[in-house]
Amino acid sequence: MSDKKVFTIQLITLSFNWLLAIGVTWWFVHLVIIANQVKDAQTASLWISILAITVFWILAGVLSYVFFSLHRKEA
Amino acid sequence: MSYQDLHDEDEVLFRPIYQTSRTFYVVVIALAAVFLFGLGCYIHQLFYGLGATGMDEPVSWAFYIVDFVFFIGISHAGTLISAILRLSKAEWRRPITRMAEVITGIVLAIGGLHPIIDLGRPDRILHLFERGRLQSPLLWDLTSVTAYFTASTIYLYVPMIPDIALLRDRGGKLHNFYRILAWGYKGTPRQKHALERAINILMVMVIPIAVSVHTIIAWIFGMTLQPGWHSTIFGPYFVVGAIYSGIAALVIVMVTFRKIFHFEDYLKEIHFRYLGTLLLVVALLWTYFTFAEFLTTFYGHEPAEMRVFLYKFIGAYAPFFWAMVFCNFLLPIVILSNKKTKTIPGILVASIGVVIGMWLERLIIIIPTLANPRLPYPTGMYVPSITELGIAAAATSAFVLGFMGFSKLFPLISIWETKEGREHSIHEVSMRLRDYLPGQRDEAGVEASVKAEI
Repeated sequence: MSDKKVFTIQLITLSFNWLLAIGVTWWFVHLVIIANQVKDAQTASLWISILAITVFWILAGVLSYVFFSLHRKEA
Repeated sequence: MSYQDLHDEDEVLFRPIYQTSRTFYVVVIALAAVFLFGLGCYIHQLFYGLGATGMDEPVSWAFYIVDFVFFIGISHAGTLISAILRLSKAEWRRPITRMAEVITGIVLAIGGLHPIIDLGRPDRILHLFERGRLQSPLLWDLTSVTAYFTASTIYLYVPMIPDIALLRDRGGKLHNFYRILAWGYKGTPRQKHALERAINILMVMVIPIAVSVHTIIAWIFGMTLQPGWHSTIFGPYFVVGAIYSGIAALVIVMVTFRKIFHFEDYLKEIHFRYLGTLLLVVALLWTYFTFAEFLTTFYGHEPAEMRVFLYKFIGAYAPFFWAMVFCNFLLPIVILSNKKTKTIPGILVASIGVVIGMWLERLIIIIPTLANPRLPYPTGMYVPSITELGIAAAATSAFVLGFMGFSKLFPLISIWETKEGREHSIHEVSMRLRDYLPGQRDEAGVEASVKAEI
């Protein structure tokens, strides 16, 4: 298997994590909009969303940091 | 030390990946048969709905939710214990962390499916995405379990990268698979530093996530006004119970793999003794919480609460309640507080008792409350159907199968951490030890370990 192919597969697997983070963000934004529309604990919904979204983004960020650090060429 | 030297020294850790006994295949076939039977039970439930289970009004949550809470509790074995041991620089953690993290990954995947199985109509999970209410503990639970699963999978994977690189360098049939997963790791100082930094961030992150997961599960019950559930201590009580069952599950897994794969040189008696001490401390903590919970209920003597209380103590669920007391309190405390019985077999017996006891605890928390509702309904009774028993058996076999599958792909004990322990820890620990003692600074007032780091 060529290096390029290996790298592409690795990038695809990494992107799943970002897909999850973006999916969770999209879903929570959707729920916050609904909470706002029906005036149902908007502030609590907003804070819970901010907390959850941050966790998923940090996790995706840490994994990406590892990925790009390991692939960076030595000086 | 070259990679080849390392291979020779720790060859026993690679052996499970390259050598497969006939017994392994027999066990896999037997477990796969149990799993398929459970799958058949679930398909039957899909066709006939929850009528195929023993659940009926008023007991509308039963085996599936018991298993859900139990499996999520077991998951605290891994990431939480591993993170705490890493954070506290407990050197004896090195051969333990990998197995603990694998437990977390597998049981979270299994446990997380149980609420969907409990739905009867799994398509209705989509309502949660479409119209979920963010102020509902059920939605917090879905989010925290997903976050915990993501965090613990990353936390399992990142420290495994150096070992995957070793497997890649060995070649073989799965060379390309390991090449993909190794992410180009060559063990350069910069790569090591990046991994170390990521592990440090992750271990700090997973502790609050793990605590939040079981606290939120407790809140699903505690935030209702149901007798036996509406309690302020449920959050920490569930977390303590989760750590308790987690340590016990970890001991069982360690003893099993030590015996099967001859890891005696890595998983020594001292590891079990330390885990046994930890188990004893958590046993006492769990007993304290249980006592506080029941004493408060009894002292208040509120009629609805007392119906649930008596149902557990002298009613239909009394055998399960007293079995729980025996398994979670008497058995582990007697075994673990006695030097003569605090041996590997003794700790194993105590751990098996705790795992059974913690499952019973989940059972007696959930069912007696539902069987004795606050509303004036007659007392309910719950007996699981063959469908529920089949699915529970399938879940357990999926756990063992998952572990067996993992052992065929990756080392069960972290090889690079073992190597690091040999090369650096003895010196590092002796430096640290000097710092703990008085009068161990140099002329400039710098402590020994700080000097070593510089």
